[in-house]
This record gives sequence, C-alpha cells and structure tokens, in this order.
Amino acid sequence: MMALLYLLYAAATIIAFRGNRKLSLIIFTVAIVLSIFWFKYHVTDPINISL
Amino acid sequence: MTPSLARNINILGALGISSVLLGAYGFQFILWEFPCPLCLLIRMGMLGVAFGFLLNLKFGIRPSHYGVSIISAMFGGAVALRQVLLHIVPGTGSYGSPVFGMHLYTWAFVIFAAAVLIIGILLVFDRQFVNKETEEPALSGFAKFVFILVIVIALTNVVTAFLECGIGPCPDNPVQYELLK
Repeated sequence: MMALLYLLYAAATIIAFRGNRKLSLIIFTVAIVLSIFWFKYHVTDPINISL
Repeated sequence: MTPSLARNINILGALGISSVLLGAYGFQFILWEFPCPLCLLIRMGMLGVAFGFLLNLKFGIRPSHYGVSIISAMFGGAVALRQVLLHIVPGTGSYGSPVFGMHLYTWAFVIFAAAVLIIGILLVFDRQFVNKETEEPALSGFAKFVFILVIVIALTNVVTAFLECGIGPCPDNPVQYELLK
C-alpha cells in the first residue's frame, strides 16, 4: 500500500514533467487523500499525555 | 519579486526537500535504520511539498501550486507531530538516532513548519505570478535536473517501500525488508 502511494506521487510528478497539469493535479489529489486515510489507519493507539 | 527570482527560489526549495529525502536514505542504508510507517508518510509529505515547487517551475508561478505545497506540508506536519507526541512523555523511548539533539520526525515537523512560513512569505509578492495560462516558461537545465531528481527519489521510494512492506501494511517497528527475508 505504501508503495502504491509512492507510485501515485511519482506518477503525478512524471505527468507534470510531461506537461499535463490537470491530470497531475488529479493524481496528486488522489494520492494525498489516500495518504490521509492511510495515516488514519496507522493512528491506532491513544497518546498518553494530558493536553 | 520577479518571476525569475521566484523560479530560482522554487528550484532551491525543491532541491532542499530532495536533500532531506536523500538524507533519510542515508539513515536507511548507511545506519540501517528502517523507516516506520509514519516515517514513510512524512516522506510523502515532503514529496508533495516538492511537487508544488515543481508545478511552479513547469507551469509558471501560481498561488494554487503554492497551495499544493502548503497542503502537503500540513499533512506531513500532522504526521510528524503525531510521531513527536508518541514519544514526548519521558520514558516512552524514541525512534531512530537523533541529529543535533532532535529526532528526524521532530526535524521533519520543523521543516514543514518552515515550509509553510516561507511559502506564506512568498505569497505576499504578487509580481511573480503568471498573468495568462499560456505563460509557461521553459525549464532551465538545472530545473530539469531538480525535476528528474525528485522523480528518481519518488520512484526509488516505490521500490524500497515495496521491499520493506510488500503489498500489505508496513510493520510498526520494521527491522528487515519483508520481501528480502
């Protein structure tokens, strides 16, 4: 899954380099949204501090 | 601030982020400190910040491209902050070796916060922004090099993340490459 996320970031960068701004931004958006979901997946334990 | 100066600043920004990501690889392959899942997500935030700078170089300086960098920095900062708070209570340990007294996730938070501040300052200057959608400056040789460097770093992270984790979730405390064991 992590590799897939990196692949999306790489794809967005490559597509931007090739000149397709709109597609690169779409792929980047998908990548960042999935990254947020994956971050949420890894946030498992409560933090043992008093805020 | 002229568009040319702004482009040079964006090149430096992308280069700076690239050097941070290469430094992370130094820890991974020289010190053999494997990146944890949160560490890998922090690297993605860094790639996102660099991506915004690269968009400026390729398609002209636009506020939306700075927005891409800011959003990525906010994401990366949130992940870094999470990792800082996991270890902030005395006795909870830490992850990885410190650099000048702070661990990499703490440095990452500092870098993301600095990125937001610097981009905020850059956004103050209106003269750098392109007026027409057709104003796409050609990439200079050095800009092309930085672009390709970021692409290579992203692609190598695909390979190393796949070797470390496979297709499933990464282990919380990785000690080996799952696909090489």
